[in-house]
Amino acid sequence: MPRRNDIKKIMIVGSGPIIIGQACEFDYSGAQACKALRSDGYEVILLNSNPATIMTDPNLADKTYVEPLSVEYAEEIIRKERPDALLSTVGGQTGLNLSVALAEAGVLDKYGVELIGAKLPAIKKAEDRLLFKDAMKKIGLDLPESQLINWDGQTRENKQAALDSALEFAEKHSYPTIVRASFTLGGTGGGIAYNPEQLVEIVDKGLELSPVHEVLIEESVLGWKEYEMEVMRDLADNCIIICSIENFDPMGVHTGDSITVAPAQTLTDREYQMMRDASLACLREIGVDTGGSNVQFAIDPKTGRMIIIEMNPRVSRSSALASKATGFPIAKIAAKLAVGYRLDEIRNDITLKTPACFEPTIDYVVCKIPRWQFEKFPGAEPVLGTQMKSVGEVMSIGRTFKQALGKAIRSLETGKSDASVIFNDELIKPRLITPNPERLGYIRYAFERGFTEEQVQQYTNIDPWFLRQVKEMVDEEKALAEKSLVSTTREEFLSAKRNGMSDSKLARGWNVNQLDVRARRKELGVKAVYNRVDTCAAEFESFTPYMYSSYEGNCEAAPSDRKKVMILGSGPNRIGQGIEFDYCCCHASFALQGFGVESIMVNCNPETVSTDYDTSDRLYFEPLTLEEVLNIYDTEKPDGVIVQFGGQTPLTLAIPLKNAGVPIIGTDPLNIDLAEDRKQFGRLLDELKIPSPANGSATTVEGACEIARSIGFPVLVRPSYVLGGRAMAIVYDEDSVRRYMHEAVTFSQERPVLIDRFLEDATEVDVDALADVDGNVLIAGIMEHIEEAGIHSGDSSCVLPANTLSQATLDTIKKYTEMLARALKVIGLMNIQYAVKDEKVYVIEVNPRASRTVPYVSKATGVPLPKIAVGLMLGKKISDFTDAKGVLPVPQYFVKSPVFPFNKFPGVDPALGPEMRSTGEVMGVGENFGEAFAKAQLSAGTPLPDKGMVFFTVDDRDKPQAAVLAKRLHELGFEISATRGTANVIRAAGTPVKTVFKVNEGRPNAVDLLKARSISLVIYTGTTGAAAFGDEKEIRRNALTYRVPCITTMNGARAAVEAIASRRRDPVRVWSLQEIHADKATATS
Amino acid sequence: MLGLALGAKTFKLKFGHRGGNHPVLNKLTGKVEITAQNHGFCVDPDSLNANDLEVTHINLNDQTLEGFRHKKYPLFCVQYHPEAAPGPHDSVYLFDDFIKLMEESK
Repeated sequence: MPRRNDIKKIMIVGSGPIIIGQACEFDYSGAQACKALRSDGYEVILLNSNPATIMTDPNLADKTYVEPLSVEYAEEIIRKERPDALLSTVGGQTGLNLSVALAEAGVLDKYGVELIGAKLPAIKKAEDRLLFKDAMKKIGLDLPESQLINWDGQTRENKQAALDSALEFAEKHSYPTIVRASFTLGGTGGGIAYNPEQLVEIVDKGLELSPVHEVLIEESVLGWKEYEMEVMRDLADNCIIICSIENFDPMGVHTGDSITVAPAQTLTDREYQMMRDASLACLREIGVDTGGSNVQFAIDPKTGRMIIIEMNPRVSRSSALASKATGFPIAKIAAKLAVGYRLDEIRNDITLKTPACFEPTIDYVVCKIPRWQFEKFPGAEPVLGTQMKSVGEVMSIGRTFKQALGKAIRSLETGKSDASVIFNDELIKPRLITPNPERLGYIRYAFERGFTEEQVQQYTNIDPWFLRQVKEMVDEEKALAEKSLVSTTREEFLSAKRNGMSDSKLARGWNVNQLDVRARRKELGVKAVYNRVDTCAAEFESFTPYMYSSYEGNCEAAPSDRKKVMILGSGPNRIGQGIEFDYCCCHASFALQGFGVESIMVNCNPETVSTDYDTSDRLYFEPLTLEEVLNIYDTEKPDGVIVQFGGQTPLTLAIPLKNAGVPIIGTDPLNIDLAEDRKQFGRLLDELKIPSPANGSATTVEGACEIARSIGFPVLVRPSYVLGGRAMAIVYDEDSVRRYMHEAVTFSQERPVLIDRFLEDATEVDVDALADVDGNVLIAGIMEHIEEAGIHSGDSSCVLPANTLSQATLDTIKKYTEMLARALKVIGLMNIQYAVKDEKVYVIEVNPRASRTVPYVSKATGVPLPKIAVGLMLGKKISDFTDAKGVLPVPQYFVKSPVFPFNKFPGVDPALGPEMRSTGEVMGVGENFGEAFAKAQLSAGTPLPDKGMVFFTVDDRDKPQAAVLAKRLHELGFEISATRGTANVIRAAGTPVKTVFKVNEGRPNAVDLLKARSISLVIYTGTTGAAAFGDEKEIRRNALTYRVPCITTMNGARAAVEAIASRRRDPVRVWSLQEIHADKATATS
Repeated sequence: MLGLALGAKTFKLKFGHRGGNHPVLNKLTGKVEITAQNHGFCVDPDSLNANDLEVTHINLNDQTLEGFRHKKYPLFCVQYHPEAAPGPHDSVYLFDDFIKLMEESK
């Protein structure tokens, strides 16, 4: 069955903003699908609200819509574009859900759009717990005993009945009981209940969070071994397994939160074949016509009983991992299968000779470790369960499990070296028993302290084979630490390296510098070589330079003698350093290729486009550490290394690399360092006569207090060299300074704590600019933040063009930016944050590197910033790329809004502050600010209401402003309610208002109204952060739980009112990026 | 051996077929099965007597012959291992076919 010619135009739905459970793996799969379909001559219409993705780049699709992923907007796009088909399976759960919604709303039928990939009945069968259970029973597969609990979403009585039936089930099958909510992401609304109280709590929440008010409760399979199979099927019913994945952590931990290993390590062939047969049977029974799916299994280690857990009828996070682990491009092939190709008709890109219809062979071991950030959510308990909590992951490839595990651990960049983590003997048992982010660390520690494999196995239920590997690693480290740099033999070095031990770990054991270890082992001839990921275990020749390091005999790298540049990627996704930087790295790579320079990518994040084997000329899947980067440098000898695109990760390596003689291109690392060094940078600002808030830096508690006193409260305190405002806080008094210093100083000892005067009520502005070697500066965007200064820039919505700044202020910003770019001799990209207060412009921070906003600005202006930046680093001038001078124009309004993971962290106060906590972002496009903001809010999952009651409770100084907004909202037909003080002011201004009790004043109070769903919007200002009073926090938490938008700043409230007004006034309309930037299409393509 | 017995020629493969992931196309059903293989020679399809014999299975990696059947006699063969353990079970239908053939020929 060849390519289908009856369809010409295909719409692809992306997965929207990065959230926990749905990260940039879907940028990877979506981008692959776009490329695959376009290369086959199809016209691709893309819808995705996330501007930070590669897939929303105007040159990846024919029409790119950065619009809300809602039925309303998707229908408008379908009406306008009239696609023939909709590919539902590459946009994660969000893309699948929207496809289902469009089908069910009759939109697809109305416009004659065919759903391809997975059809509606198959999606239903896989997603609906009951149908899935029946289907699996029918083909004889075993499942855990389970029961569906439904609620009509209406009355409390019905909900109570639902809870009662849950309790009854649990009595019958005994606790613990697993709860899963239907149609939610990453295990949201699920959990493990060990007793009736917990069961009631979890089921109650699950019923609320499930869009269909349904949860499944089931027999516990805690402690069983967990596996995943990645499966593909074509229209001719050919089925193949791409990869098997085994979870290191047994059942009970969400697979996204588990350490996983590919291929499965502890199965016999018989068991494996049984699982293979079951996977294929499952895929056929569910009836996924074409594409990739993921099937999860559990095996009881005692009896060998195998049960099926679930299947995802779409490309998933595991598919991305499996693609990177095997070199088999699942999403790309899935897209081809969806348009009619058969597996045996598609060629394997890596061997170029054999067909894609085969099962990859792996002659290495792949290990994935998730990256968590509980420290950003004080109040959230750092334990792992069935709901995914990790924000990113790393993958590593090694010849053995040990080597892969060692590499993965150092890829994580947890900000603390293994040596600095303080382990506590008392905590060993609890940390082993309850899964938590530190568990692997504690397993190692337990072995160091002499625990046996049996003991650790008993506490963790982890397969003994894995534990033995970890124990052997620990034993070897211990033994080597007894020796010294000189007494260690070649064989011992070789064995240590083959078992994944890093130079820095050996150096710590011997108390020497890691470069000494490096020099010594190289002297002994212990050098890294590179092997290729080739899908076939060297059975056929590989034409794709996709490499990982090992300490084998042969090096398969075969570097070229072309002019080449190496790009250091950004490592695991984390809050503050995510997909935006991957966007920059990928573009750097594309740009290099465009300039005829070979691009070499180094990264360890399996979710990204940058680790796709066809993004760069050469790919090294390696940890971003000094050791590994130098090893690659030794092999490749590139002409230059780019460090300014990968966020903080490569920057921390910049100076050591420079010192090791590696040519860094672009802005000099010393100048990057200068901008981070408070003292030097302060001097520079003084010389340039550019104002900044009074500031200082301190390395002692008393020093900090003294500086804070001298510059005056409130002050902003933060450690140097951090991204995403880690550990940043606004403090109002000396006691808080003291408390903060105790926490922050232990966090990073060598780096001082920075203390700035905090400008209250200032407007914050972000600027991205380009500068060339001659000191020409082009300002790409002056973004005005909607939330006032003090909210982390990554957590604030912002708008292009700036809509309230005066021309004089904009001119000053332009002037300062140019001065700073020249003073720091920036070559490439830079980002500056300003605060504007009373028309005066202060510099807050300068980062001579690509920033988080680069993709957003590139999309708003239609000018590909990273591409130009790479050109500038190669010595070209700004005028070689564009005639634009001064500030790039923006043809419409573009609002970027953050997306938060608070619903995954119960008990955490969702108020915004100087520490970044958003995981992703969306963009809204409009002809006016209100329209763009309304779309951004809708995309961010916090749509603004168009009717109902608005509840105000604001700080005294915000009351006059609240009265104005209340009046406007009343005119727009909203009812107004407020707590007493606020209500008085609103009433005095002539607006009818209902007075509502505060939580401690009586009932019904604001929280009761929230629970009763009579409030549709909360506008709330006041104390935020740790000092917030209980009831304030409770209002915010409940607003979140009941999905009522809660606005915590007056600027945000003003923007919301404009947005609501726009929704009333403006029709639903959409613009593709290609339409918006039609005039530039020829200039920048 | 069946090939040689029926007058066909064989030749030595450069590396042979080894491993548990060889894709084989069944030309009768148009479906692909993943097979376990361990052989170093194969039958030259051009040397098969096309009047009597019909190619049924082809290795997709190198397009070599993996199976044929006789047009008149109850006879078919494959060169890989449908019975293999370790190995996938995609080709177990061959045993059913064989049993059917036996029953039909009784």
